[in-house]
Amino acid sequence: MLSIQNLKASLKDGTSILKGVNLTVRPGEIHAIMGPNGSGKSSLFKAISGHPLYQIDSGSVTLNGKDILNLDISERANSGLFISMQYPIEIPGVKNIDFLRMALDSKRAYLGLEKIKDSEFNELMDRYTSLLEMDDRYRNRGVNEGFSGGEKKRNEILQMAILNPLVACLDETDSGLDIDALRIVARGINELMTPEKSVILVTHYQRLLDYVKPHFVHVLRHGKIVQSGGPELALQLEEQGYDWIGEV
Amino acid sequence: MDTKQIAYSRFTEIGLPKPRNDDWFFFPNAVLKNILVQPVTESSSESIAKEFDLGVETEKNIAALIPLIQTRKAFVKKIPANEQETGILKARDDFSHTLFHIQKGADVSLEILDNKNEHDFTAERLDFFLEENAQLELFFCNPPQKHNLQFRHIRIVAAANASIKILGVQQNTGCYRQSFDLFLNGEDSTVDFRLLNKLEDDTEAHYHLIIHHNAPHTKSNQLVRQILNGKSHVSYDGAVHVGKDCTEVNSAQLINSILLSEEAKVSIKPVLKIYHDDVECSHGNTCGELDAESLYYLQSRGIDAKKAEDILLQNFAVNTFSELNSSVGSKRILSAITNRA
Repeated sequence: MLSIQNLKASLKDGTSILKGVNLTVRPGEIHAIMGPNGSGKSSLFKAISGHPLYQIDSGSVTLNGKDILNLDISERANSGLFISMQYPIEIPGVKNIDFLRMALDSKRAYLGLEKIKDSEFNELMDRYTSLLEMDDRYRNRGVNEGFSGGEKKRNEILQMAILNPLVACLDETDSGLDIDALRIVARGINELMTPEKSVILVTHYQRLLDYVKPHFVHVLRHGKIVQSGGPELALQLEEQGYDWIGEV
Repeated sequence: MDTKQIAYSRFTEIGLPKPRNDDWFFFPNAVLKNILVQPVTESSSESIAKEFDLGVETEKNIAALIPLIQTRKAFVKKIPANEQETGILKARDDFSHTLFHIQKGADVSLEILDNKNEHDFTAERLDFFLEENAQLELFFCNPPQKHNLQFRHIRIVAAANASIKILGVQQNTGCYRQSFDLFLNGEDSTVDFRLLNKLEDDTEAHYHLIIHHNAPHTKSNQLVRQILNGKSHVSYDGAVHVGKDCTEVNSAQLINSILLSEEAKVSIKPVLKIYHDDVECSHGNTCGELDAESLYYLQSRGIDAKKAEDILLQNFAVNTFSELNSSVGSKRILSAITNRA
């Protein structure tokens, strides 16, 4: 379970971004966070994952009871936190397949497991590239190198599938996706969900939530969650925008 | 007078570089004060002077003159037309002069090996004369070694359709200066120059390069990268000269530096002298630290900070050479970079 309590965070230059976020995500739950541009949605993911531009001013973040704010970025990831980036970075020259394997072996080493066997890894790759309808080009190209926006997002979900996190935070995974790609990515997210895992989606649009049904919808505004509800809240936001929601 | 005497006469004329000498501006000239330059008399290089113009009378670079003055015997080799040759070049003495005459259509790949003895001062000069359609690949990727003071001067003259490829990985410590005079004298001749400096401690590495586009349709490319740590200092003075009647010349220079410590230093001086309008010449220079977003991305996938840094540095290094067609040199260099990382 991910528990974020009264989290306040700012940029290293002192600009306050998160002003007391409270969010509890239990296993098996899908949460959607919506909110106007600049409200702190991406910052929330960056702050809890340890992005170097952010500093935690107060509050706590625990994953399965473990305080992750004392861990470095890779330890947080290896503990089960996965952030799918809004703008995935290109790393030309590092083959996607080598990167995926390195990431998986890092996690396995952290958990005290041996490196994954070739056959086991190939089986995982085959299964998930097939699920996400990704061809062999994705394996041997540099990480996100020359990928379209949609291909990068699909590659993020492939990483999520391979790394098998406890909590996946997906930052605007639907942006840049055409209708078919959105359907494929959504199918991937749904198939990867199990009762032990949870997903937090940041999105601006209902269309992703038509495919990935959230249990809870939250509105983040001015660095705080100001409204929470069920899936119907997203439909209401789609119709009415954010102006009707007051400050907390 | 033979070449040695002309070189000595020229050396005494120009003398050791002064602080205001632009070509030696970044070099710590104080280290030169104790070097002793005087001609050795055991041999004569008169035959070389008759057959090849080494440009000694007008030479401005003492690093090009000292090996001629102090070498005991020049090594001269002719590669016959359309022959293929791979080999190594290794100076056995502190001062050496090597000359290759590569005839029409010959294809030569040579690895330059460092002299492994530790010396106070070494200087070598390599001359290459390429006839039409000849190809020359020169490369060096020696394991790290200490050099107190080392000069290396490479001068290449290319005829029509000749191609020059120079690939280097430099990771020695100490103080060294490499200079290159590359003459594209024939139409459609080309040069591809790629250099990676991976330096630490208080290493001083200084490069002075001039590409002379003396014919139409000639092409040159310089890609120089640095990964600098400690108090290391690299200077790169890279010049492109395009002559009056040299139409449709294409030249590119790109220099990227990553500074891993606050005391590491890089000094870049691009020079373009263009005497014709119909040319395409570009130059660019970047300098910074490792990209923080890329580091974050790798770490967010569970890869620890040190390994993430190593991946990005190795990637930066490999990309200096990865676009090249497979060749003896590029394979050797890529293998050396990946194995040493």
